[in-house]
Amino acid sequence: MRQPSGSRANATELSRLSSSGMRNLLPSQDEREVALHYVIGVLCLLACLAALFAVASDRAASGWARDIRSEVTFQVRPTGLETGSVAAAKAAEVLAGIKGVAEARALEPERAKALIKPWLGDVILDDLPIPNLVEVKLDPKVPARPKAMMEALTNADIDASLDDHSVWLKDIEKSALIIRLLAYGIFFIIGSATAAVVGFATRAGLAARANVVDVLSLCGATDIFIAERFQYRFARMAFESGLLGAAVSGVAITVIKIAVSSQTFVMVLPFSWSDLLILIPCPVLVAFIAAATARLVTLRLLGHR
Amino acid sequence: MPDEVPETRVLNLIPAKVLTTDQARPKPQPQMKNNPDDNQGDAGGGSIVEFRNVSLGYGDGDRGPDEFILKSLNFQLPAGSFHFLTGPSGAGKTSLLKLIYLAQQPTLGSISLFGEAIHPNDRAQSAALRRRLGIVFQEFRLLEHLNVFDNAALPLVVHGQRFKDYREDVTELLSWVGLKHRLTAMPHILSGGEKQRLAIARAVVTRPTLILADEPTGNIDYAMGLRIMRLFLEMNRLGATVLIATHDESLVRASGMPVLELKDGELYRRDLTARGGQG
Repeated sequence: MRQPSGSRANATELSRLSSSGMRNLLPSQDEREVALHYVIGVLCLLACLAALFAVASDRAASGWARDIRSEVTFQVRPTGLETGSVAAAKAAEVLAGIKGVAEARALEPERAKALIKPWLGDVILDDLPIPNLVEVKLDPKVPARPKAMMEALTNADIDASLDDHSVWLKDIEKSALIIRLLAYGIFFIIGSATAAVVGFATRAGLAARANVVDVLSLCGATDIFIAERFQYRFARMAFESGLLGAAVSGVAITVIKIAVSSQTFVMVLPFSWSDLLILIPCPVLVAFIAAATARLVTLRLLGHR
Repeated sequence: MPDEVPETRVLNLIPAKVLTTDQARPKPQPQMKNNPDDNQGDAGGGSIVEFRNVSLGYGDGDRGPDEFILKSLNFQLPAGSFHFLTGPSGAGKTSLLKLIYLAQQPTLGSISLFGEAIHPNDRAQSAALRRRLGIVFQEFRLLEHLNVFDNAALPLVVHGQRFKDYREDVTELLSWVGLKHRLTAMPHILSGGEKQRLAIARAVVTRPTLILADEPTGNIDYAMGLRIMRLFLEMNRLGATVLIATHDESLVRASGMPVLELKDGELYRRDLTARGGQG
């Protein structure tokens, strides 16, 4: 820097000059932008919650499907003079010897009754023929094929039928898909709402700052240069609001995870601490949506001036 | 009172990065073409501004010629010329300047700037041409949210220059126009004269090829008016073409520069009795 001459501004004055004021070139925020901050923050909060619920419900559905896939049940019908319990025990023994079966266990009649009891009651149970069931847990890495198990039972002269829970599995997978699509849909709707809000605000901002835009244009600023100012302004605002929204959603999930001890809730929405990582890109995504929208809207409006 | 900084120093400190080849040319004598046919072959060379049968009317396009505010103007401003633009209030001086700085489109006719025919809807062309202009607006058009320094430096920011590269030059220019003590002040606390000087500093900070000033001395005292005029004359001496719209007859007389007068929508040279716009 050259040594200031006598005519130059004093050092204190010079040191107060800063390029920061010129970074945006647009006036600082007004009341409308405070409201916009709030709206974008809330939208980001909802988007984050939607994403977290999507991940948790997906995990729950996957867990249920995995559990169902890892187990099959055989209903054994006694032949000749043997009792149902004996036939079931024999079937369990045969199934246990098959490769890919981790455990095979005949379900005791008392346990089978206990399972049905909540639906049918004590009185009816006494007269009801209880099926002889064998629960088979499959090796999760190399599960035994249903056909191989049925062949083994047939070779041992055991009359049995297989329930591989496929009806339940399809139902759960279908429900999981619906939940996932719903969450993505909500996420998309919130994203588009953010874009619409920013687009509206950009129009208002451009109208409110028409004099600034005119002066910039008359100084030789291109439309892209002006659009970049709005882009920077709204991206920054959206990022700040998004950060706040993401933080609030993170706190909400943390409180839910710590405070809610209901087993049913944990089964339905098994949140994990690692899920909070999803929140990191959310403000960035919101800022990107805001920047792109502000740029496009500004360029379009300037083109029509 | 302004600080005493030699004019030559001020003009040297105006960033040279934005100097154009037009400014390197020897300064031609000011001239005015009355006949559009005389302009042939001039547009790409010595002519900075060229109006060909330019009329401007407000309202719908069905108005008759009598209602045009500017009527079939034909003239050129050669590179390096210096002109005053005078005329009574409402004569269309500001409108003529607006046509040149592309804030308005002619109703009829065509305009060339720096040898380029202006395409009304080509915003990229407008931006590129405006970068070679320095404009002093009658109503200043300062940005109220930027301080004095940032307002003066605005065209440089638009030109893509960095703060550290222009800080010292802009500071010195502001010292020269007497705003050294106001660098960080906001425009709303400035007096009319200070705003005027700031607007002038902003207009010349890029060392433009063409300077357009609308009543640049309207709000300042005579001494400062002369000082500002010296700045314009020095810019002109270095090659800038200057067109100043003014009511200030004393300033016009003191400078001795040629005068274009707008009257009843037509353009005259002050010392001629023939109509300038009709060829």
